[in-house]
Amino acid sequence: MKSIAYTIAALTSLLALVLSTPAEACWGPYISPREYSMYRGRPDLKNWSTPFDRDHMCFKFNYNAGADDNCLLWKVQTGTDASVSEIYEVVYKCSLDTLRMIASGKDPYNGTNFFSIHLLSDREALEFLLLAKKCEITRLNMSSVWFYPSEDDEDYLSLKEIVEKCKAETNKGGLYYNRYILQEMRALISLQEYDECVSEWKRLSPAMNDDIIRQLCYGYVAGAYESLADTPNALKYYAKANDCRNYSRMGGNTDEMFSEYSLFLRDVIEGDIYMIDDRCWNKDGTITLDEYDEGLLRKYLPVCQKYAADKSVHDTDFWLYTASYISYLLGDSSKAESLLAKAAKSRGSQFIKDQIHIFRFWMEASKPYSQSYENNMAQHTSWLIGQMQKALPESLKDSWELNGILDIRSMAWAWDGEQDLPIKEYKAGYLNKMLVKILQAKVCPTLLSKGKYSSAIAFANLSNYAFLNMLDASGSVIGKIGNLESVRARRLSVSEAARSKDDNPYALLQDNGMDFQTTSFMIMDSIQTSYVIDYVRNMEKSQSLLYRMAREKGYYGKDYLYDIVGTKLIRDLRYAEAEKYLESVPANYQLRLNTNEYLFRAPFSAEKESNPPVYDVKYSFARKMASLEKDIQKCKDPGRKALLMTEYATGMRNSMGNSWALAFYGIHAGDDTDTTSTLFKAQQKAFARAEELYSQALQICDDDNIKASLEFFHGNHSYVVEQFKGTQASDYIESHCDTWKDYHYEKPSVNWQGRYLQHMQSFVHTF
Amino acid sequence: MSSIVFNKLKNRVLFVNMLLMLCLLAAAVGCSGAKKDTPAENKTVKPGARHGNGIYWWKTVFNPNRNELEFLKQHSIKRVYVKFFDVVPYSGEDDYIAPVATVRFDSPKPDGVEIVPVVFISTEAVRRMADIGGGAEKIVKRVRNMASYNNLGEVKELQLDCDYSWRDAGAFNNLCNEVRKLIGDSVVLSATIRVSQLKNTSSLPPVDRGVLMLYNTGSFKNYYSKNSILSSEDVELYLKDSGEFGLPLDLAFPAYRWGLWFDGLNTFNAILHTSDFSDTTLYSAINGTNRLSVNKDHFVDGQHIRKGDKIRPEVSDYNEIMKTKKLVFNALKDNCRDIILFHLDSAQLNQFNANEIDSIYNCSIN
Repeated sequence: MKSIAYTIAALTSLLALVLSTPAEACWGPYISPREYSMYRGRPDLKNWSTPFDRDHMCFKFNYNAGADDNCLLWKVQTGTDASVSEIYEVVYKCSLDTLRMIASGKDPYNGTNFFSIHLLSDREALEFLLLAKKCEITRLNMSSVWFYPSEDDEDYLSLKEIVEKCKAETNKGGLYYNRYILQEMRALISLQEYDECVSEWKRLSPAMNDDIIRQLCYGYVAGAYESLADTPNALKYYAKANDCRNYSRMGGNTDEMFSEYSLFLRDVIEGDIYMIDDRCWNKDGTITLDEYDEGLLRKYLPVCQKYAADKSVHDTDFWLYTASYISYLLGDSSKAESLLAKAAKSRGSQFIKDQIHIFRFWMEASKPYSQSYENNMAQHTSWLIGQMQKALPESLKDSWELNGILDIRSMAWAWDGEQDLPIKEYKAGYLNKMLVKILQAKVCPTLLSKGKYSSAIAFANLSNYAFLNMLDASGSVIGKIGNLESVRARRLSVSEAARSKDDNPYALLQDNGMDFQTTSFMIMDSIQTSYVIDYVRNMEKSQSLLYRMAREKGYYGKDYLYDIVGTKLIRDLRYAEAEKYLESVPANYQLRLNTNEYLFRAPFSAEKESNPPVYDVKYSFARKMASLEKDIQKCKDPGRKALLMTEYATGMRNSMGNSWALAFYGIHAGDDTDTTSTLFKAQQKAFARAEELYSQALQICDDDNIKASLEFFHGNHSYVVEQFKGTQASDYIESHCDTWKDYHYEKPSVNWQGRYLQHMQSFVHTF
Repeated sequence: MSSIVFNKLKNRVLFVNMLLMLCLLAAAVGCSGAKKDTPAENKTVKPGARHGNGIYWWKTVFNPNRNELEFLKQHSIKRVYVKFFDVVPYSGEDDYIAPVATVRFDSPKPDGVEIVPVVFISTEAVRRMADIGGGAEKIVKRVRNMASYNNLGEVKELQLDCDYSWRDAGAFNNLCNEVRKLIGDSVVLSATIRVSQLKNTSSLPPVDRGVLMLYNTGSFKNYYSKNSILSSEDVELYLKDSGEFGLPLDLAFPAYRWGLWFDGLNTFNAILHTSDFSDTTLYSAINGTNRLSVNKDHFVDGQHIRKGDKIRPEVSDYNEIMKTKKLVFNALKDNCRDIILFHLDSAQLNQFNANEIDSIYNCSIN
C-alpha cells in the first residue's frame, strides 16, 4: 500500500510538473494548459488582436471594443449592402497595400467582398480608410521594437502630416467628420502632443455626432488629460469611455458607471474579463487576481446581474454566463454553478450555450472523484471533440494557411492553434485548448490520484492527439515554420512534422516529440509497467465510451504501445516478458523512435562500443537476455556458466548505462544527482543485481583465463594485466592500451558500480 | 521527479546554455572597433595611420564615473566605442529580429570624445537578415535615431560586431554591403575580426577597417586552459599563415578579469564576474596550477558554488598583452595602428598602472 500511495503522490506531482515545467523550458509551450483562458463572449475573434508581448515572449490578446458598432456605422454611412463581417474584413484586417489596390481600381477580393466593391466607387470613404490605415501603421511602427524616438524619424513626420490632413478635413466638415477627429486624436497621442489633443477636442467635439466614434475618442481624450495631470477631466472621460480600470486607478468611484446598456458596454466588459482571464491563471492551475483585476470584477459582477435581470435586454444568457464566470474567478464556485444553471435555461445564442457547456465541463471536472466521474468526463469529452470536428472548416483542406498557426512550442503538450487561426477558423483551436486544459489540468490528475492510471492515460491521449488527428484527416499540410520565408516549402502533414527528427527543417520538436514528449507518454513512462499493460489491454478490448474514443480519435498504435511496454519490461529486468511484447513490434519501427541513434551502442560490450546500424535492437537484446537466463539455469560447467553470467550481467549493466536507450526513452535532467529518479532507481537495482552476478561468477570460476575475462568485463584493465599476465584478456588489453586510457593508472575496482555511475555522469555531461 | 528531458533536448539545452554563455560573453567581452578622429570627409584611413586611442563601453547604461572620465583624459582617448544594442532573432508579429540590451545614455557625451556606435549582431540574426532582408535599414535607422536623440553628434563611424563562422561570412558580408549603401561613403564602416577569422582572409568583411579582437582567444570552458582571456600562443597560431589581410586592422586588447567556475567533474559552469577569490576560508590553491578549489558551499554572483568545485581566476596579463602586441605588429608589418581597450570599467582597469596603459596604447612595440 505504501508503494501505491507513494506512486500516486509521485505521479500527481509528476503531472503537475509535466503541466507546468514545459512553460519554462526552451521548447515547451509558452503557456501551460492550466493557464489557458476559458472565457469567451463571442464566436469569433473580430474584436481581438494579438500583439506580441515581449515581457512574456508570447502573443497576448488585445480587445478592440466597439468594432461591431463601428462596422454597423460604416454600413449606415456608406449605404452598402455589405455584411458587417465583410466591412470588418476591409476596415480592420486588410493591409495598406490592399487598400491601395482598391484605390487603383482593382478589387483584391475578386468580387467576394461587397464592401471592397463598394469602395471602388466611394472615393471619400476610401480616402479616409487610407489615411486611417496609414495612421495605424505609423503608430504601430512607433510601437515596434526597433523604434527609437527622434524628431528626424520619418514615422514622426508622417504622423504630423496625418494631423494636418485631419485638421483640413474636419474644417470642411462632411460625413466622416467624427472619424477624422478620432484619427487626429490618435496621431496626437502618439506624438505626445497632449495639449494639442485636448485643445482640438474642445474645438471640434461640440459638432460631433453621438456615435461609436465619439465614444472611441473618449479614451484618447482621457489619456491626454491624464498626461496633463488634469485628473477631474481624465476621470470624466474615462467614465465616458466605460474604462473602469483607468477610472478606478485614478481614484474614481465606479458605482455610477455603466448605467446605460449598449453594445459598446458589453464589448468593454467582455474584453476586460477576457484579458483578466488571460492573465489570472497560474501554472499550478490556481487563480491569482491582482488588486485592480479583482476590483474590476467586483464592479462588473452586479452590472452583469443587473442586465441579466433586465427584461429589455436580449442577451440574458451572456450576462448570466459572464456573471457566473466572474463569480468563479472571484472564488465563489457555488454561486458560479447556480448562475450557470440559470444561464443554461435562459434565452440566447447557441454560442453562449456551448460556452456554458464548456464551463460546466470544467467545473464538474474540478469536483472530487466519484463513481460517475469517469463516465461523465467521457461524455463531456465526446461532446467537445464533436464540437471541434464541426468547427474545423473544410477550407483547411490542403491549405497552406496552416503555416502560420502552429504554435511549435505547444505542439507536443497541447495543441494550440487558436491565436493565429484566421478569424473564421479560430474556434476549433479554442475548443482544443479547452479539451487540453480540462483533461490535463483536472481530469488526469484526479484519476491519477485515485489510481485510475489506464483511464488517465486514455484521457491524456485524447488531449494530445484528437485535434492533431482531425487536422491530418482534413488533409492539412504544413510547409514552413513560422514566418521564415527562407524555409523551402514542402508538403508535410501536421503529424508528420510533429513526428519528424530535428534535423528535418520542418520538425516541430526534437526527435518525434509527438510520440515521446506528450502527457500520455510521460504518464506511461513513469508508472509501473503493469498499469501500462492494463491500458494496452483496455485499448485493445474495452468497449467503454472512453476507450472507443481513445481508439478512434486519439492515438492507438500497437507498435507504439508494445514498444513502450517492452522497454519498460527491460527496465524492470523482465526480459522474457519484454521479448513477447517486442516480438510484435516490426523491426523498422525503431526508425521512429526518438532514441534510434542511441540504440546502436553494443549492450554486451565491456566498454563503450557501437554496433553497425541494425533494426530490432530492443527485441534482439530482450531475446538474448531471456536466452541467457535459460542457459545459465541449465549450464553445469562452472567456467562457461561464469562467462554466461558475466555476459548477462554486462547486458543488464549496460542497458542502464551506455546502452540506456534499450530501457529508456530519455535521460532525466538532474538524474545523476537525483537519487529518487526513475533512472537512478532502475540503475541501482540493475547495478546491484549485476554486481551480485559478477561476484557469483568469480566465485564459481577457477580458470585464470576466464577470471581474467570477467575482470576485463568489469573494466579492471590494469588489474587484468598485472594479475593475469599471459591470459587472452591481458594480451588483448596490452595490445589495445591506447583504447583504454585507464590502463596505466587504474587500480582494481572494488566498487565498479560507483565507478560506473561516475562514468555515466561524465557521459551524461558530454553529449 | 523532474520532467523528462530527452537526450537531444538535453543536448540542446546544454547547447543553448553554451550559446547563452557565448552571448553573455560577447555581451560582456564583446567586440571591438576602431577609427579615427579625422574629419568625416577624410574617411579612408590608411593602414599605417594612427588616429588615437579608443576604448569600448559595453555596459547598458552609459554613465562613466569620475575615474573613468579621468581615464579618458589621462590617456588621450579620442573615441569611445559604445555598444548601442544587440540584434537577436525575434518571433514578433511584425519582426524577425529585434534590438535588445539597448544602451541608455544617463550621461552626456564626454567632451573631446567621439562616440562610435557598435552594434552586436548574433549569427542567427545575421542568417535571418540574409533570408528576409531589411535588417540593415532597421539597424542604421535606429543607430541614427539614438545618436540624434542623445545628442551624440555626427556619426562618423559605425561598427558591426558579429562572431560569424565561415558559413555565415557571406551573410555578414551582405549585411555590411547593405549598411555601406545606407550610411554612404562619408561614414566609416568597421567590423570586429576574431583571430580565428584571419585564417580565411578571403571572407573578411567588406568594411573600411577591421578591429582584431585580441582577447577571449582561448577556450574558457576548457578546465585545463591556462588563461582564456589572452594567450599569445593561441594568437600566434592564427597569425602564422595569415598573409596579407587586405583590410586595415586596428587592435583591441583586454582589460578585464573574471573567474571561471567548473564543477567537481571539471565541467564548465559559468563565468563569475567577481574577481576577488582571496578568501582562503572559501578557496584553496590547487598546487601547480592556476586554479582554486572551493572549500565550502557559498554564493558568488548569485550562483551556488559548491564545495569541491573549481575556479580559475583569469586576468588580462600585461606581459601577455605586450607579447601579443609585438607578435601582431610584426605579423602586420607595420607598427602604427589604433589600439582599443576592452573595456572602460574603472573596477577592472585598476589591474594596470598608468604606465602600463600607456605602453599598451603606444604604437611602438619597444
